[in-house]
Amino acid sequence: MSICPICKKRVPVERYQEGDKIYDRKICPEHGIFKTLVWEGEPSYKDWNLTPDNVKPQGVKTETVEGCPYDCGLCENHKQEACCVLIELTNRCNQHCSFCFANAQSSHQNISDRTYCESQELTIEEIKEIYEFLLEQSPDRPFNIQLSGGEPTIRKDLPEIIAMGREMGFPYIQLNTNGRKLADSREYVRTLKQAGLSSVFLQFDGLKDDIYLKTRGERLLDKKIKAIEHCICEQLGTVLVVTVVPKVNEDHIGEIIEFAIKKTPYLRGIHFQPVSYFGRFPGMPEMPGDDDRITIPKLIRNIELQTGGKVKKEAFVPLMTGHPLCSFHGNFIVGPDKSLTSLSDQSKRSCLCSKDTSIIRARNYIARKWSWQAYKKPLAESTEYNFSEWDDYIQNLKSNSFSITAMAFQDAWNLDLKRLERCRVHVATRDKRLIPFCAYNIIHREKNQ
Amino acid sequence: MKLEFENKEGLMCSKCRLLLEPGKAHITYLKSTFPVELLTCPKCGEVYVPEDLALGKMQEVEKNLEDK
Repeated sequence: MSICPICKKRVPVERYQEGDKIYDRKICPEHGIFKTLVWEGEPSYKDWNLTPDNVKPQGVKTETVEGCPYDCGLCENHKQEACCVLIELTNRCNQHCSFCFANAQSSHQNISDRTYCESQELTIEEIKEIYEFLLEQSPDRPFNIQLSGGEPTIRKDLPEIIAMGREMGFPYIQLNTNGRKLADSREYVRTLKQAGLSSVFLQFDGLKDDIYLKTRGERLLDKKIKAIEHCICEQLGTVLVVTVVPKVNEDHIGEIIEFAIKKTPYLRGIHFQPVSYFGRFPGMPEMPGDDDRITIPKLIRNIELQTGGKVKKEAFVPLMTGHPLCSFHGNFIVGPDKSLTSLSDQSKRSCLCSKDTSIIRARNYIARKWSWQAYKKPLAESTEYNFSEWDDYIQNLKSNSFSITAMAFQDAWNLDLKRLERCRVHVATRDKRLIPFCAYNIIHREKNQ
Repeated sequence: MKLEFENKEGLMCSKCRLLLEPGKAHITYLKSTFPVELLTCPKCGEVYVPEDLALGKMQEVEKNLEDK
């Protein structure tokens, strides 16, 4: 099932193959036929689309009345606990990007609009209540938290919000930011780190100002570089978040990877987000065509091609704690010469020694991979055995790891409700509901603002 | 090279019925191999992995290699 992108009513969808491409076709009785590209080429859809290892959420909040995706959340039909929960601290922003999932309001707006936006923000007391609710929902290992927006650094009480979350027991809090304030002041970065921030999720679309002019409406490369420098100086783990847009930066993936590898181990990874058509985006045809989509297999092939084979497509595996069509990841160790060794050996990737559920392992995985971990020379634990190289290996795994990940969000044109019910990135709302990220952006955002 | 530990508990290889001796073993994780000193059987080369090692370093490596 899916929805009509015009009236948003639920409609049946048919998945079919044309050559090496997989499409979804849906018919709305009122608005006609919609066709969208789902997959193309290698790695093959069949090999990739494995049965995921989902963990049912512990709490059900909303009754099933209209059915998916209208009853979030979570309703009893949702099949996956969250790995990461977003808290939107503001809808204000100090940029006005051409592409913005959140359709955030620019600070260039007039003062009455700004005041209105500020008055709609969660208060620190409401954020505390949301934290408490989230702890109740994930008692064994609290959710990973992403503080988002709008631009969360606009809030003066951001360090307080971070410190409160850490004190209440969240082991991992990341900041989703455009990096402007981080670029302006190293002291500000230090304040965030001291407050307990685990990682910076930094908007970073490429190494050319031409790209930023198209995606963000202004030249931003210097600011991005400065923000990264400040995070490195303060040893704050940073992940580059790249919105991949056809004909804008899809040919610049390789150089972004090369750049990031040189900045390891402080740059912990790259997270690609193929563009989705929700929120705000420049002029679009009535229906996104094949050329308007960056599918997961296309992105993986581009990575291999544009790194000259340094990163091979076999290094990537599907997300198993959500839906495999939503995401991929590859883990690497960076050598002293900045060479990459893949750790995602597909034949040996299941570890059965842990008693934790798959989603708790996933939360720990993200926290380990995206936080900066200092290299500590191991102390000799035993006088009888010499394990120094083993200790070295463990330290190396921790501090010199690097990840390349991607998340393909869904929009109203390509929404697949089977994927949505397995979503593991949820948005926490003021009235203490958890709404899968794509459902929030397609259906629920307007109602919650 | 003389190794600095010995088989104080008198551990034996269950297959060969021989006392284990200090020796070098090679641990391989994915593409990385490194030497460690462990008690080994002089005949068949079987290695004794103490419990604290299995639940300590080995588990730590597994955790760090674990997928999401």
